Amino acid sequence: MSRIGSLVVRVQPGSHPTVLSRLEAIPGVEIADQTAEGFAVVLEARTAKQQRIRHEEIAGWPEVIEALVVFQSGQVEA
Amino acid sequence: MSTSRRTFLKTAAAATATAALAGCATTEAVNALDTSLTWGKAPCRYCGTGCGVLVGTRDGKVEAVTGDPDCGVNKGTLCAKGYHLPSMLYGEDRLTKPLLRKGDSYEEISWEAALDLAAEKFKAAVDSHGPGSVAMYGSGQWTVPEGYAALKWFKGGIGTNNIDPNARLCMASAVVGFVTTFGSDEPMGCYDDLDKSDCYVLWGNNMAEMHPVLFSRVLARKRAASHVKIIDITTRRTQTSDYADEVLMMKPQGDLAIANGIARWLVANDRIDREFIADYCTLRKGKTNPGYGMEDGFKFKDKPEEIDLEEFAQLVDEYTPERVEELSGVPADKIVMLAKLFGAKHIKLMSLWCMGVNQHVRGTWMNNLIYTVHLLTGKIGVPGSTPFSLTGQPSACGTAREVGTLAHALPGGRVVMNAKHREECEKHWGVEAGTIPAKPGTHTMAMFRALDRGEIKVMWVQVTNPFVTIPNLRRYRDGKKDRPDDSFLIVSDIYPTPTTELADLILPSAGWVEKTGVFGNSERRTQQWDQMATPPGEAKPDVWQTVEVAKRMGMGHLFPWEEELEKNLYTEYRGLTLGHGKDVAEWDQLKQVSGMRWPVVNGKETPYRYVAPYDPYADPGKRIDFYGAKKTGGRAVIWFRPWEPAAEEPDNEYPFWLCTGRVLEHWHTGSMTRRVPELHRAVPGAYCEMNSADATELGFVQGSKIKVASRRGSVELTVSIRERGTPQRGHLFVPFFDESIAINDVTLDAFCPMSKEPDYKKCAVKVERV
Repeated sequence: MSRIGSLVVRVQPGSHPTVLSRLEAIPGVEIADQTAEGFAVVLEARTAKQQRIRHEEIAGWPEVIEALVVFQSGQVEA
Repeated sequence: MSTSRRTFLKTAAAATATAALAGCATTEAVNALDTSLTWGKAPCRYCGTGCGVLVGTRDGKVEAVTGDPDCGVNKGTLCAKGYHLPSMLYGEDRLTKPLLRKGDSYEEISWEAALDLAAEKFKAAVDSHGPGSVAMYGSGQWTVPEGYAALKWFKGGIGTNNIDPNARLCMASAVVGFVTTFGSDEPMGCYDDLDKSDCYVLWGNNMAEMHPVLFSRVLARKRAASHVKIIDITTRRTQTSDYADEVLMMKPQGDLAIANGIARWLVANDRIDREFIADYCTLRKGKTNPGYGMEDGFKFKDKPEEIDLEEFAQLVDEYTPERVEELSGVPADKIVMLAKLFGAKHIKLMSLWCMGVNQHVRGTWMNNLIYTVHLLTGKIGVPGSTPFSLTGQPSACGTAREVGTLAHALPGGRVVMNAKHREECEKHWGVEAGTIPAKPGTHTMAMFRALDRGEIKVMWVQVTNPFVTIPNLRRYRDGKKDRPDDSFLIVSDIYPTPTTELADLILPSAGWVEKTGVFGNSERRTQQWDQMATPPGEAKPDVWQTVEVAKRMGMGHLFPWEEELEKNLYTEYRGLTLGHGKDVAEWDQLKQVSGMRWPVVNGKETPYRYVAPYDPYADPGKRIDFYGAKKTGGRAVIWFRPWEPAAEEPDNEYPFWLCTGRVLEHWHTGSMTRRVPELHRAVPGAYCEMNSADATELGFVQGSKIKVASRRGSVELTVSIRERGTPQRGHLFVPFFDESIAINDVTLDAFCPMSKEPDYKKCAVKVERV
């Protein structure tokens, strides 16, 4: 089973490459789109707790202005 | 099946985030990126948060939005709904011409003919049956000028108080809670509190989905300070629960017991702030067993009695942690944990609530009780430490409460029952003394019951969709359908809805930035915007419609302005707010900024009300000054309100609790958001959340087709297991955004006897396989 959600991640000017490489290192993250302002991120995790931890981790990076959940649904077969 | 569902969800997730990202930019970026668009500011159209939006238009059409980085509410962020605002205006089926019912269909008519007919119907009803035979059902989504014009026409023109907004269904308990506790409506705190607290207690409040931008501020605070806690008191596990440190799963109606349990523990363990209570509070108890308002003609009046702290201690003494566990289902040790948080002097604590507390047969009592535990501990009026009532609609505060479009209200915190208040408004409006009736008009439920009985002959509905949202809906919908000649129903809207389907006359409205307006949000912030887009076809602002009908009834003197109607209405309204702590900002000042929090005195807003030096009305010699509490000598009331059972509980025949509510992606009945392709694809239809153990026992799986039935009606739904929310065993949750599934056929029209706000969170249902 897994949970699927998506985030809009707004980043500080000039920090785009740093955040991109960090996002790519997180399991279950897919970059759906990116602009100068940030990233549209799909986040798939095994449990709600894991999803929350990953969201909080992304939101906590100093280069990130905001990581806002814009879609949330899950439990589906992984 | 599961793979395709996963693919579908991932696609929906990606599409939502991608579209949202497109609307995400800083002011600098907006200016730099697209100078071909004309940018202006507005508050978001949807919820009561009041996020600031920058709107990019070209040739009279909204082409882009972005969060307003200069708005103190959202600082550039929006939620999924906000990022998709432009598409909301451009659904294929916008109403563009007035339509008159001819049998089972409609024919287009001119505005002249439509307005003449509306005026003629109103006049005929008033002449034949008196002013009480007409009604206006408005909205917490009305702009301030729209609500003010309607109120002035009804109360100062026609001479009836039969006007009520749909805010009755969402905020009335908050209003009565504020007024009975502080003598004045609306919060003392503001969103700045969200950045300063140590502990957030969420009372039946799925903030992650319902107020996502504000919840992101709570999470930012939690990330910045590791000691910060979130306590989620809930009947159903939600996205908010995923972020909470403690999830206290309670039985419906258990919140009354929990609050009393906290109060008992605080008093019994002397963790109360005796000095604060002695200086700033008084204690009261009211009538008990007031009923549930289900019968036509229901009346209730509370009779407050002063008590002392000793008597209060005796009254709450039965709410031991063990007794509270019995009543609420929350373990006794968790009640003590919660009480200790309230009792800890060094902890700044915020209570946050919205519909879980307000849509409650004891909604006023629950509001009172939350204030009680804050007042007992002095956790009020300190930045980061405050009770904070969240609002559901964008101008439930601004238009329903501050303008006073509720059936008992008048502008600036006045009420029709007060002769001095009536006189002040009559003078301000230049109408004859005695025009405004002293008796409150029909509140929403009484209004629809009167319509059903044929006593309301003409009703005008603006900016709302009652034939989806009224509880026990079948009675009211079928009544109108079966007896179409009993009444004449006028509906103004931007799209066809189940309400326009019942209308005799449909008037096409301008939406959001297709008109000039003002909203007032949850934190007393007044936000103005100018018209930026052109309404489609012949659609017109609701305020214009109201004024034109009033003029045709010989009441043009109420609206003497040739131009700048919205500005003139607002400015006249503002005159009624000045000088008693409700002062809203000047129009021209509002045009320059993303909102100002009242009272605004000498051009300066007030973030923290009742507290000097922030609030110019507050006595600087006092820690807090409840200057609105005139009837209680400037003291806030610590109320004793007991636990009492719900109006209907599960039994052998109807063994499940049903709770209804909203989802992140849709706004209310979905009449706007379901026309946004990305949002519609993300959550295309209603569903029934069920606990997996119940589903297994009944032989249901994800997607099973079921019928959810109560004593009043039934709907067919698909089962949702462990998706976005997880109810407890024996509980179901159904969202109400899907107008094709009338879940309010199932709900109960029981309401809080004091606020008259219905309880959409509790009724008994059964489940059958289809």
